[in-house]
Amino acid sequence: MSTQGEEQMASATNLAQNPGDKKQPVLALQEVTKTYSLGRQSTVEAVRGISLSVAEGEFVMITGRSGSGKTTLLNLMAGLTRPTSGSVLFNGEDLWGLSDRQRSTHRNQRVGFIFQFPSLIGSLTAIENILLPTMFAPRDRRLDGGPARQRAEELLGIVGLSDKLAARPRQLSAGQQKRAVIARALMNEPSLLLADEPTADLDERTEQEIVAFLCEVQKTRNLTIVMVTHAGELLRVATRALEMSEGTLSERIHS
Amino acid sequence: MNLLRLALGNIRDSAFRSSLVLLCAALVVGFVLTTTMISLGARRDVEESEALLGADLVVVSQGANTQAETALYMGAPEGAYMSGDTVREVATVRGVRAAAAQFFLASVPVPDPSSSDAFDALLVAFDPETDLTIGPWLADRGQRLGANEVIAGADISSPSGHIEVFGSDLVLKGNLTRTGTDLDRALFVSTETARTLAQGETAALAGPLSEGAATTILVKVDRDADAHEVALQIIQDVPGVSPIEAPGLFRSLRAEMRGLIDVSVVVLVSAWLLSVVIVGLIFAVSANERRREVAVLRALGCSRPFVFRLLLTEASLLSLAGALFGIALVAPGAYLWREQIAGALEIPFFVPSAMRLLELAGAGIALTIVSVASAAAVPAARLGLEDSTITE
Repeated sequence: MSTQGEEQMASATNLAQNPGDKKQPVLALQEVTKTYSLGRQSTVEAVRGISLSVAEGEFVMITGRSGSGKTTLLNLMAGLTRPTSGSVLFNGEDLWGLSDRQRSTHRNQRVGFIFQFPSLIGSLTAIENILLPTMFAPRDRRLDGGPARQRAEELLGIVGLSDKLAARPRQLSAGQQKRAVIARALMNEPSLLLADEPTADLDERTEQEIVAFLCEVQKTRNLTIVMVTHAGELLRVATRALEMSEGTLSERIHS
Repeated sequence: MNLLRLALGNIRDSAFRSSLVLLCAALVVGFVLTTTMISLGARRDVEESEALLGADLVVVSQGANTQAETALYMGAPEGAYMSGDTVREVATVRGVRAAAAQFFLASVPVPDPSSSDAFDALLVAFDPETDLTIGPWLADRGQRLGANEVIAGADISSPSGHIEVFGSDLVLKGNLTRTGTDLDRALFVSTETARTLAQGETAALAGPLSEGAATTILVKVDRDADAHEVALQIIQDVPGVSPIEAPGLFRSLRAEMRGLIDVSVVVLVSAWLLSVVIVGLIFAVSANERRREVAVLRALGCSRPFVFRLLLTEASLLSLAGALFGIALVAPGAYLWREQIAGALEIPFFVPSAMRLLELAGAGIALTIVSVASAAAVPAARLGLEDSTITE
């Protein structure tokens, strides 16, 4: 996968947070496995016994070939997919010990998700898409009306789309759509951002802009980011780089 | 942003899927309205005839039961006659409050106001003094039926106010209320006028018009008497006659109407089931297509019940729109083509009153929403319960 000769692979299934980082992990995976059934007798093990800790403020990048299980791993981290075995902990709390409603609230309030595919709702305008997460927030934490719209406008301004508030997704370029998705992911001020190939299918300049923006957000808001990417050259901005292969995760160690 | 806005947006964005569901909903409500109107028409046809007849019993010559029904219904005079003595005997049977003779004279051609053709009307003679149906109707209006005057059913009209029967010119005194039956195509004259007509050169009567004779005797029973017991008493006291009780009077017609209603119900249920299956399949297919959308919503923090509610709201909105569309098509269509429908079904087709139509429309809308929502519920529940995995 890597084109950088100076990198080595550390074979490991138990990946603690950065050795020098003694903070409480925001996210922890313990011996997580995910198996999908492909019929009566056939199964595929997308994630194989992965243990991983991610500390607050880390920018973790995961690379790997298509079909290696990266997206499944992100879905597990978000609490969207139930692991076949093992635990997913967020601030020490097992996500699968929560009810569906509590887990939904957790995703809404603490996790921002950037999808690989175009994920804006086609029938809504850009600003309505940004406001969508507020709709699912618990009543006591919901940002309603004017303040919500003000925040959505601010976010669209930050990602350079202040003139596209009323635009439908089909009226936006691929890069603009990705930036709108990032704005939506930040709407409820999450503490963890999960990004699945946010720069896929984008030109180099837009890719650089988006990565630079994510770095800035990570630093200014002390946001924890886990990002899946195919682009090895982006690893330079990560605080930690991991490689996924056939359902297992290994650390990429800079020599 | 709210659930309704999201649902409306999804409906608008999936024009083909939405159109199919809307069409199914329109079909369901259309079938409900049409078949209900047909059923109501069939039922009212019998009830109106019974009401206009105004009798608890109809006495006919023995063995002429079916003929009596035919005469009342098909406009064809029956040919079994009872003498004036028989009429008087029936009138004196215990439990009989009143007995009135009617004489079905002939079928006579009258001009059809809606075309240049003519149709056959049933010519009926009656005694305005003793009659139980036309008599009270005239009395209510403070009128009397004199010589050479005629009362016509609702379908018969004459711009000149005159109707020619067997070469005689009769004055049209008025029209009866519409019944939706063949009584709407009947001419009622007094016995006195009937005798005058019978003397006409072109008179072609179905039978001899003798003093006091009748083809049908209409009987009202005493208020505290039981119609069935009075009927038995008539059989016992008056030889050669058959009393028909009101519920049995239109038995064969009722059976025919019941058959029509049964067919309507079968058609309605089949169409309903087919629509539910089609809508279920549409939602099952769309649920498959919408996995990503649902995964996005779930990732943004939407709960499973919300996904279920969203899909059900879409289904309900579509079914409501479809039902309104169906009503908008069926109601004016039924009104505009009521004659053609009635002709095709050979029964009167009643366009219900505005209030009744509103009730029917409400019931149709409710049934459609429940049906479509039920059809969408299973795919919606499955989609909501699925693991929201977004694969690479």
